[in-house]
Amino acid sequence: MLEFHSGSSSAVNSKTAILECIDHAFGDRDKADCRLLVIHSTVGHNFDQMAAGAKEACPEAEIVGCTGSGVIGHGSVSEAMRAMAVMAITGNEFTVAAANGLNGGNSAELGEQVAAEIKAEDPDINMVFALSAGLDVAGDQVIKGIESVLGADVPIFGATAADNGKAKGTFQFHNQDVLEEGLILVGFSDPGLEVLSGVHHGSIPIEGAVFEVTKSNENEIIELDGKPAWHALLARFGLPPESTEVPDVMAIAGLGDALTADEQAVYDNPQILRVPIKVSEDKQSFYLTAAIPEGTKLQLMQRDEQYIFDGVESLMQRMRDDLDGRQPVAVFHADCMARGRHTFNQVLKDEIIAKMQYPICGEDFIPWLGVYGFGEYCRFAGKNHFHAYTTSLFPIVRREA
Amino acid sequence: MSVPAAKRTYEELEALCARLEAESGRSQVMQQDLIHAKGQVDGELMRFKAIQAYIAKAFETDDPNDFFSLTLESVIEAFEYEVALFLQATDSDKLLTVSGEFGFQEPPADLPFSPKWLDSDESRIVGEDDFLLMAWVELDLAKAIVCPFHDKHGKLAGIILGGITKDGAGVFDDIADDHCSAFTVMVQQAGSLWTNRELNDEIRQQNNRLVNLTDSYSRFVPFQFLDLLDRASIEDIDAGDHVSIESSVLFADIRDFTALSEALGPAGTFASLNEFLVAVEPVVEQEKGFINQYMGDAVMALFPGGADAALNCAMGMIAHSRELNARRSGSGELAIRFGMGISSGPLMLGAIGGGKRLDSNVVGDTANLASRIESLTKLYGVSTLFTEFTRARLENQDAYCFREVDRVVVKGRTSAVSIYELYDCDTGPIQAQKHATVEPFTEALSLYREGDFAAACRAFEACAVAAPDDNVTQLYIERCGALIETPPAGPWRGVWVLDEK
Repeated sequence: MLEFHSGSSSAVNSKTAILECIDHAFGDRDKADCRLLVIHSTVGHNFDQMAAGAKEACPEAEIVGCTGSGVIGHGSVSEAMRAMAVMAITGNEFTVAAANGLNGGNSAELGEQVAAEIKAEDPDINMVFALSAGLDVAGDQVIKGIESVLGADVPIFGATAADNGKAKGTFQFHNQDVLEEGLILVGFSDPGLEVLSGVHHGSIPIEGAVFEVTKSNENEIIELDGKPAWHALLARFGLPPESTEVPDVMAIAGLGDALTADEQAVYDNPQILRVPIKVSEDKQSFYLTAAIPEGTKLQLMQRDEQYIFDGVESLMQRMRDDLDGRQPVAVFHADCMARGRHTFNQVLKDEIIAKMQYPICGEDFIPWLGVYGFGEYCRFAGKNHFHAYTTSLFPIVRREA
Repeated sequence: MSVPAAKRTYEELEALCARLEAESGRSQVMQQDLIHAKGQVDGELMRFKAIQAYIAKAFETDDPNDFFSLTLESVIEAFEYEVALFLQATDSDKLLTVSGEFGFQEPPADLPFSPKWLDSDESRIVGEDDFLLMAWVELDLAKAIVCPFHDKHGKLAGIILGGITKDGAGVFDDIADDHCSAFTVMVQQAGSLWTNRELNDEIRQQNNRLVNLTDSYSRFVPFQFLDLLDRASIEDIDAGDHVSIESSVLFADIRDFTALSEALGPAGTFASLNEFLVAVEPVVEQEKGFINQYMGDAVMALFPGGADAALNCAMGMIAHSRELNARRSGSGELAIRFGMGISSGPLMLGAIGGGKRLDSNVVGDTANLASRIESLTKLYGVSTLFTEFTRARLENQDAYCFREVDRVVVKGRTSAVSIYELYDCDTGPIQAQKHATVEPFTEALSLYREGDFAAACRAFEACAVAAPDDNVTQLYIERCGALIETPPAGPWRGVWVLDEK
């Protein structure tokens, strides 16, 4: 039976930080029992020292994780250059596989390959925790690849890695390896557990700001409205395409892809958001985090602070309904880096995280691990989806008898 | 009257629309800039908190290496740089020692330096084309912020550096100009803490030295001496300071010291003397007394607490010396024997000396009498004698085996004093002999006091049969014989007058 423990640390020394995280997670319990250690770290840490410390403290544990622009623990959120949080798991009902070389063009293929590896190890997987590179990935295609092996009914949850908003490099951890183009899947197979999911983005459409994708290749958007896509997008902001970099607009250039009517009702939004994550070297095209077919209408969106807060309220209401009085054994959490310090000051950030944690945890300590990434894998309306700009929560609960 | 708006062409409207769209987009960019500015305020707050936390923790850090680590980790936490160094000035103006590092894979042990390179006490941001980073090219830094700190004399004590490596440039935030003032504050705090640490170390060393010095002083001037004078420290004592106290005084003097010295030589004599004192000194302390003076082969101890303590001490000293002599005998060394005289009463304790040297001293009849009585132990062939003044102050007389041995007028005095032998100090068989003859000895002594020397002589001879090892009885037999032969001139008062010390 899987059991979950979480801890976090703000120590800047990477070995100290991972040891503190593990100590916090296990308290007086034996950390040698740890079999799976999920680590989220910001990019300032020394990952080799971190991995060595994790191995030293939990020699039997498989280590997975990724960087984010921030980490979220129970009652703590930090976007410092050196922040760390872990979910330490005991029990054996899981399997892990990883591959490097992920990009927007092979996302489905690699998703299928890694999913096949975990299925080969354990055919009874009932939920998949996915962590992937964040800068060149088509998240929807990763999902497609995984589903081709495990089926569409297995919930997929997780995040793509992020850096500190500079879009220079994102990192994934698998045991002592640090990957930059990694896809890591953890297949859980504890029959007593299930994962719930809740998601919300707080962006609203900018009236009349709609682009038609007139040329694309998977997740590369080559033309919008018949013009070089990067130029067309930046013209909306009055920014020069030659000297503007992705990080300059990442937080404001969310592009909405229309959902079906049924999906809209559950999602509480008419669009699912895609984020420009990379620009071509010639500064003509840009890359989104999902494959976009030609002819798609993309709606320019803008974050709305009030709607973000209102959205969290409605998300938590749905979550309470889904939990139906059950207390989660753990909560995984993927939040978009744009909803961190790129939107809120520390006080508001603490407030919005508290608005998620308190309704679920109350005064109890429930293991909680979150990351501010570039994208979120989260199921809604009976389908696995890839998102951006959202808060996505994944409470792990015991199945009702 | 309103003026009708000019008609616009489609192209003009299209251009206006594009301009308005761009302005709308720019407002989003500006909004983002505003959020970024708020983020900078958060950053400032974070730095402030980190600096505060650093100061609090640094006060609790004892180990210098922990201090370097804490300082650099706090710099990293506050400013989010990639790497940091704690550099310390050396005796050479041309070199800085790397005392602590954060984030470097292989930090150098030292770095070249010239005081001219830093012409300000403030932080300075340096790029890779700055002469400082060119001189420190092995650090592979793209950018750094450096700030010096100074020692208590205002001399350069070191430099703290925060930096971004060439590999880390673009990943880590740039070192911004607005870091300078906070970095300066933090480095100067670190410098002050370091200087304080050095001062604290000096103070600690001085304190240790003072403790050692006080300990050394206490060997020359006992704490009890200071207490009795009501002085906290030896520094508070002036020549002439004195106090009148009630005390018992014990004089102990090594027998045959001259012969011992000749046999052992100077070094051996010192060693033996110290060995003896080491053995007996704890007994004095145990009885709440203190050694006021060492006088060559003699010791004077004071017992302000009472006469019983002085007698207990005498017995303890004898017991310890027996152990000592047993060991010395085993290694073929001469035994150390000594006599003790005890008297009790008022005395004056004080400091005497000229302007440059002081000594503790005891003045008064009690001390003189104790010394004289000690001299008599050789005459009577006993180890310990005490005066009637001590006997009168004993709280628990029944605890001791003693007997009156004489009534004497010692040299320098006019009045007679009764002296008692503490035969508790004798070995078991002799003690038993004396104890068995206490009554006949007392009767014999009465006859002697009455001037019936013939009867006294017979009585002492009878005692000698029962106590053949009793030197006092032998002395009286001889003395009575002499008095029979040459009766005392003038009236007999039963008092023996001693002309020698």
